Amino acid sequence: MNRTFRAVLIAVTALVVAIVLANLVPAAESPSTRAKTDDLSFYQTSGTTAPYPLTSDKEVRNVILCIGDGMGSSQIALASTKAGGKLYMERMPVTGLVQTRSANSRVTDSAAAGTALATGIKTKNGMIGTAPDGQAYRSILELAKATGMATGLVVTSTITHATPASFGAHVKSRSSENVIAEQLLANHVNVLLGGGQKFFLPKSDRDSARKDKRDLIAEARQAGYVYVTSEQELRSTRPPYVLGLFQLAALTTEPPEPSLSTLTREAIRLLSRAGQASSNGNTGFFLMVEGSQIDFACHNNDAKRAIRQTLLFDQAVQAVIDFALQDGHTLVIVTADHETGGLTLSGADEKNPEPRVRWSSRGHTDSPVPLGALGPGAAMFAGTQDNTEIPSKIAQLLNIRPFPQPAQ
Amino acid sequence: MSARETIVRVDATYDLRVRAGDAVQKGDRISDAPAQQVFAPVSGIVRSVQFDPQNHEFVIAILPTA
Repeated sequence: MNRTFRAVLIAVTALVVAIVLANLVPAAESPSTRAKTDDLSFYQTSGTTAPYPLTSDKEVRNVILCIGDGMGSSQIALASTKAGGKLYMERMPVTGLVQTRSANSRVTDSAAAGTALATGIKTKNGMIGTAPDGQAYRSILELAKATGMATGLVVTSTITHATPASFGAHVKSRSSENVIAEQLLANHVNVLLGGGQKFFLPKSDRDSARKDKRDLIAEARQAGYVYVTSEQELRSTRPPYVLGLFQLAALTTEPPEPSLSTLTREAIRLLSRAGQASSNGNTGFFLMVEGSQIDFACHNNDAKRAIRQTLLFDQAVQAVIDFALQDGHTLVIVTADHETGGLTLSGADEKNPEPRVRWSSRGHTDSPVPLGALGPGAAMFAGTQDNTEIPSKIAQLLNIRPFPQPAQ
Repeated sequence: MSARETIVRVDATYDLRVRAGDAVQKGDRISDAPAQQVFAPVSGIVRSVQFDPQNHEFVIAILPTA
């Protein structure tokens, strides 16, 4: 082969390979989404251990509730050790503990715990947004919406999973995800971001999990929602209503999906603008962000995945804090619905800084979970409290009365 | 999954009383769930325990002994 021709061939081949590789990694992708389970380079600590400042007693206009599903103190400590510095959620200026038991068990599930955090009442494991007798109670999200606030739910599970469902649906069983999908849309939650397309597709679609012909995506569009399935579409969309479903089931938390921190930043952007368009002048919003898959990792007693999912959640918390510190009128609460796995750490010393990881369970435990708060009203969340007190205190700060409030 | 395996699904809220590799007798309680007591339907060896995140359940595969 001619030497010149061979050189040109090699150059062209290299160019083609470079173009293909460049297209495999979308330009909008953040470093966090490239992480694999063992690679934590996506995460950067803040480089300081100082707590964030206590803000003055300004009016609370926005509330952002961040829930790490299954995230106990040891999950945070393990992630912090691996990250090599304090997590953002560890720098909250107000801290507390939250008791998590449900109406029928010392060990709660995410449905009963989500219901407690959303409605202020205790219910049985498995029930969503209702008391044990089946009476529905309005969630803090629904009541905030009734005052004119914009509302949003951001998760890495299906958007119909137990925790988000507790804020926008009322069903006797968490497994009724088709009905939950219908109720989330009927509630006109402004921003819904997560997984779970299969619960929105009609049964004629081979990927559907529905047993009827309802096409909830078409219904959402008719109701004014913009439907997006990629980060690029999400970044270019506008309020007031956005339905973003990025997988048929739970998110993979891998590229090319938008990361939880990206979803959170976009939700805040959309909700800030949706509030400005409110007809009654209320420019505030209520947003719930869930790191859903910490629980998944801990059910598998998988420490590496638990660390990664906790750090991904902490990145979302960082996005929330960035906004809250700039805004000054945003209350941020970071907590968990329960602990999963009975995780304990021991054995670390100067010679062996790696802690010994022990799991005592494959299920949930009744260990109290940590809480951190920042922003106006944060001081109300100091100390040990029941999980039902959290939405009650939020309602008090937003002048929502009465609370808890049964639905009509 | 082997065609011979028996599959048991149980709420993942509560801890399990079996781990992969355990021998179980028919009727042994295999979950701590108080409201949904689950018993081994066959005698055998627990081949695997997997978590199903969508349904929040453990999927327990038991290989029956002959």
